[in-house]
Amino acid sequence: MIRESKLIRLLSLVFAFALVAAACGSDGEESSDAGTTETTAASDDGGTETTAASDDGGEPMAGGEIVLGVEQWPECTNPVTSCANASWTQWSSTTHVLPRLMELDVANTHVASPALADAPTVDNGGIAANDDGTFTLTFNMNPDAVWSDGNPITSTDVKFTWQAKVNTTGTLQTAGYEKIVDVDDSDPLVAVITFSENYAPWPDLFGGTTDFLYPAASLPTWDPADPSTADMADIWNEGITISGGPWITESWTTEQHILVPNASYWVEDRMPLVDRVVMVPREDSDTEVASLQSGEIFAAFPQGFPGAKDRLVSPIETSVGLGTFMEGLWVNQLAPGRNFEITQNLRQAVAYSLDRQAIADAAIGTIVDSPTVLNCTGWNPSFGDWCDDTDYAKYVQDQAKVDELLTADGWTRPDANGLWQKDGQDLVLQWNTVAGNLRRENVQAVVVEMTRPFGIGWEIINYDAGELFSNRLPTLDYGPVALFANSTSPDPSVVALYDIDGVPSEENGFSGQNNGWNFDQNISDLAFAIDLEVDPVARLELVREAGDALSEYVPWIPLYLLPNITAWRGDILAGPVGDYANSANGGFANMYDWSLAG
Amino acid sequence: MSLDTANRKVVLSVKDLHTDIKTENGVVHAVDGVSFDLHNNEVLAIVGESGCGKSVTALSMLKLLPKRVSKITQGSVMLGDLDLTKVSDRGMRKIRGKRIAMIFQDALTGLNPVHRVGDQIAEMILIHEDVTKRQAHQQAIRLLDQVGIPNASERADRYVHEFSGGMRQRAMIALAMALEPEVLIADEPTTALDVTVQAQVLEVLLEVKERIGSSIILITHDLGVVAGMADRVLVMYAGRIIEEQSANGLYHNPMHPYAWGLLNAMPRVDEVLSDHLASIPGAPPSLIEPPKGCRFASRCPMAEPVCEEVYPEVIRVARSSVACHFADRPDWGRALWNAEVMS
Amino acid sequence: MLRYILRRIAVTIPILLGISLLIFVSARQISSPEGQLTLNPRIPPEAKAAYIEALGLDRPWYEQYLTWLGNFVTGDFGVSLVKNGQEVWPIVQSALANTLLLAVVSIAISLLLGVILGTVAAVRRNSIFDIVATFGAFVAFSVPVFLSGLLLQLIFSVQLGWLPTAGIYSPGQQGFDLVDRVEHLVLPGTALALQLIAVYSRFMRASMLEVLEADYIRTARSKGLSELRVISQHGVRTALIPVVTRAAIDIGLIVGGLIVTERVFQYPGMGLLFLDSLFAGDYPILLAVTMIVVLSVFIMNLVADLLYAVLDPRIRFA
Repeated sequence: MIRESKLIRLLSLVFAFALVAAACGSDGEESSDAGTTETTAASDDGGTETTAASDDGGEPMAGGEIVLGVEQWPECTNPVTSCANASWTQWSSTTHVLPRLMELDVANTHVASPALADAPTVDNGGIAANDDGTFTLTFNMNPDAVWSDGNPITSTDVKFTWQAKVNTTGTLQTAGYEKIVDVDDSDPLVAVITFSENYAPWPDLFGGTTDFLYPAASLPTWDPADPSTADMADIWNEGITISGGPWITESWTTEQHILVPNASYWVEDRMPLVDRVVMVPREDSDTEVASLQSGEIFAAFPQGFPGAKDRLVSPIETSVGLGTFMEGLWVNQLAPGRNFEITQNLRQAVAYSLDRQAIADAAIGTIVDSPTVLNCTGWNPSFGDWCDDTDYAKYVQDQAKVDELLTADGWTRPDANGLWQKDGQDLVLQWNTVAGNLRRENVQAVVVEMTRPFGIGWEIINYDAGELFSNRLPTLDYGPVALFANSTSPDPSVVALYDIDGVPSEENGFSGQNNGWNFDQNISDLAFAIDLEVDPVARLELVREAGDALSEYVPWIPLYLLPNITAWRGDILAGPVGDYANSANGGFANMYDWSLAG
Repeated sequence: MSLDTANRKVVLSVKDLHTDIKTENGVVHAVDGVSFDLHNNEVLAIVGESGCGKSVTALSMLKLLPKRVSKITQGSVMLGDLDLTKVSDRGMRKIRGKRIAMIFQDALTGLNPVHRVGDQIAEMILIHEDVTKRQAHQQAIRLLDQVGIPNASERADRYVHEFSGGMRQRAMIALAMALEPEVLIADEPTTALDVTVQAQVLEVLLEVKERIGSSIILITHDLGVVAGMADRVLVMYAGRIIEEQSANGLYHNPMHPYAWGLLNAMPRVDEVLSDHLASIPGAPPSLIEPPKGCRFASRCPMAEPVCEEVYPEVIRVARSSVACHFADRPDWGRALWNAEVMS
Repeated sequence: MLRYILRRIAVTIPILLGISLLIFVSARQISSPEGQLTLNPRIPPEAKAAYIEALGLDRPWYEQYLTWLGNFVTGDFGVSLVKNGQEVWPIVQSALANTLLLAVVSIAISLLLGVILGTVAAVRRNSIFDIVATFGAFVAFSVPVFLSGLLLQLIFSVQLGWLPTAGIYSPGQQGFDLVDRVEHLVLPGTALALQLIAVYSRFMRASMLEVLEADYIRTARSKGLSELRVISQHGVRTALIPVVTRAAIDIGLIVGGLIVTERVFQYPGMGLLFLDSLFAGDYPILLAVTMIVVLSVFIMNLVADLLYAVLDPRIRFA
């Protein structure tokens, strides 16, 4: 979730003044330095754009301590309960200490993790759709994989993880696990997982983007025959005490998290280079930048904040990732505040009235050098091949299209400079976003001017984040248009977004996340088909088909991704620090490869 | 009570004292050439309406007026052979309390409300004398006992608001007499008190004077107090002394029309006079630019053109003096004032 | 005296209840733990519903409130909604200790400097010093903490490298270390003290000016005391009374009022806890924080009154 407030906006506004004041005390040498040595290079993994000063850090050295800033301190470190819902729980803790089955590589593609001997495929028999409709995955465990207590990582741990995921009090991310009917752990090195039906997003179970393996030994009272005993709610809330990753938590408090290398880790090339990593909270981005400048923290992974480009300068180096949150105009077709039907024609007409590049420039132009327009409604262009970047590319400003679409829909424009009208109603859309969010309010200001010549007007009503996301979104009491960001995952599953039965309503207790944007049966069916198709090639075809359908239907209008930034002190840190700026596992994912500059 | 001052030693001699006070409206010549001698063991009263300069005269002697707004522009204050106007601040600290002590009008505001009464007395003893805290405290209790405060050792630990009006003033006297100063300046010491208590406090003051052998300058507008206490009286008007007499002399034979007026307005000796003073018609002149003639002329029933023009010469008659053009006209005043009041 | 204290405590109880209700209703309105889950596609509706039920968030709001209240009056602050069942009290206790340390140290230093500045300004009224102090106080008071805090960080941490920007210990520090702790107190303490010194020096100046006019100051001078002694023993001692009582009230207020300072300096106190639990919709923590703040305001007001009586013998409680 994005957490912003008026406070942050005010802080940003005064920062310019603060900088001027501080510049008076600076010797000027630094600023000229920054201008001359900076080079900009796009890295080859597609997702990140690195702005790095020339490597003046000297030879890396082994050992020492690294200090990292964490933008949102986890409420607790439990990997199963609500605490795991926060990205930073994973980025600051779980990723570094727990093993996975499948994992994401630097390009966010699912590959076998070091806990596996190999990745299951149809060809090696690891993936099997059975005649009785069930679906079986067979994972071959790596015999070298061990927990930090010396116990091997086995299929029993997989079984325990499944039960814990489903039975832990307060568990939340159970999607997929409830489809599992059995995990056969008779061979410790082979985990055979049986699902009730095909489940294509399986790489995200027991690993992938947000999930991990838990050691069965962590709960001595666990009885495999009684799944309800697999309740992890009461352990690991203040630090995960065991490790199956490169690091092990030495201590975790609300003020700092200390990680040291896990001596039992079996992966040679992921053994940490430094002796210790200390993570400390830096929730305010101005303070985070100041701490980087003062050298108290060596690296941070801030969400793109306005002005980031100008403020993260030498000796701070940056690597900017496209981002994992997609921001767009989410359309609620059932909005109580609508004065007319939000038809497909109308949605397309709005899309044709927008210069989305100009919007992206206004929104994230102070964060990245060349903002990229998002053309997919659910797939992240930097995650695999799922996003067909041409889906929404046709939506550029086009007066003729707008006229044609609206006229066909019964709209008239009596005054060629005025608003479209139908049944005595002006074409004015209520538009909500988070009050006080500078970026989003900027976008609103830009769009209001932008669509005026096209005869489309806006009524802007903004709410606090809590009001908008907790109260209005789940009850469909917003819009017809809202501007906010939604997460993306490396797996192309979009069922949650477009399930036609997932529209929150009185009857289903306002559950489901199709918050008014899809009422098309075909798209809903395609979304389910994508989850059932376990063959990657066939699956990609379904995704493409869904992408085309969505670009016609226009459930919402994608605008841009919110960039992530890895920012670090080039004069203190050495190694591939910025490589994971675009990783779903966070910018610190490869910190085992980081070292102190000599 | 009349004393033969001629044979007594002069302890304090004020010569031609001028004190200016800066105000928003201009510089007030609050004390404008005051001269007098204070003799050993004498009670010298200075009387006059509020604003006539009597308190400023007293504060000037001790240099207690705020420097920011006031200045002694001329004259001398001789304590023995020491000219106080020329003494440094540090030097003055050794004079204050030790050689000249003051008793202020209202002990409720004149004593610190948040310090114990005994401590305030002991504090002064401590800074002037080489004694221990304990000795100073014992001394304070003794002094409180001497001024007639019952249960002094317990009272010494109380705060001033816990004292009755008379007790407060006794405590103030105890403070002033603590170091047996040569001069006690009592500025309206009984004005805030009930009439019955006044007499007791004045009695204490006289006892103290006798015990420590000091002289008293009694500043008051209450002629009743003067009658009971003073040996000699200075009558001040608009920054100057207009008449000096023995107390007896003033009562029986006031020479200046203003002194006549004061006495006349006082029906009985033991009554408070404050209200009656105002019954002399008119108000004193501004002292920012005082008139060049007699300052009482505008209110004087017998003023003649010369009064407006020329400041009267000070005429000395025996041991008295008066500044009036018509001081040589015997008994003119009483009749005149009476006529005025009758009509 | 005891009766007076009891009476004051009795008055606070209904106010405390009213405020708790108000905070509860607005906290539930503004944010909620389930709000954080709205857009996560990995959370099936059933899991979310079970979570909401487990936290009791599906019950009517008055039921939730009464449950909370029932626990609260028996001294049970309950458990956090989002920290996976952690007890509220230890969390709040640690934040309270941090904030109190910051508040008490800042106020003590501010009081000392404010009193000195105010006294000198009053004694030398209208002097250059007085004018500069007046202007300085105006500036210090007007500059908000998020600006002064940033400036302090940029000057003392980034430019000069003397002091840490944030936190209460250096990263990696485990256990108590006085020097490290103090170093981390300096900047937040200064940001806070700048404003407090401005307030106290103004307050002291006004109070001192009044005292300097008092008769007993003249009496003190007539006793032959040095000017320093007159000012310090008789002037400051009395003029201090309203300033000190004001500072006591400030301690009560500051316990809840350091949201910006604590955020800017990542100082884990009550303000930061309040902000975090407000965002997270963690109403048990939010309510505990609020109740403690309200209580501390009441207690410190009471302390201020009692302090007044101790410092000023003229005041007694009936």
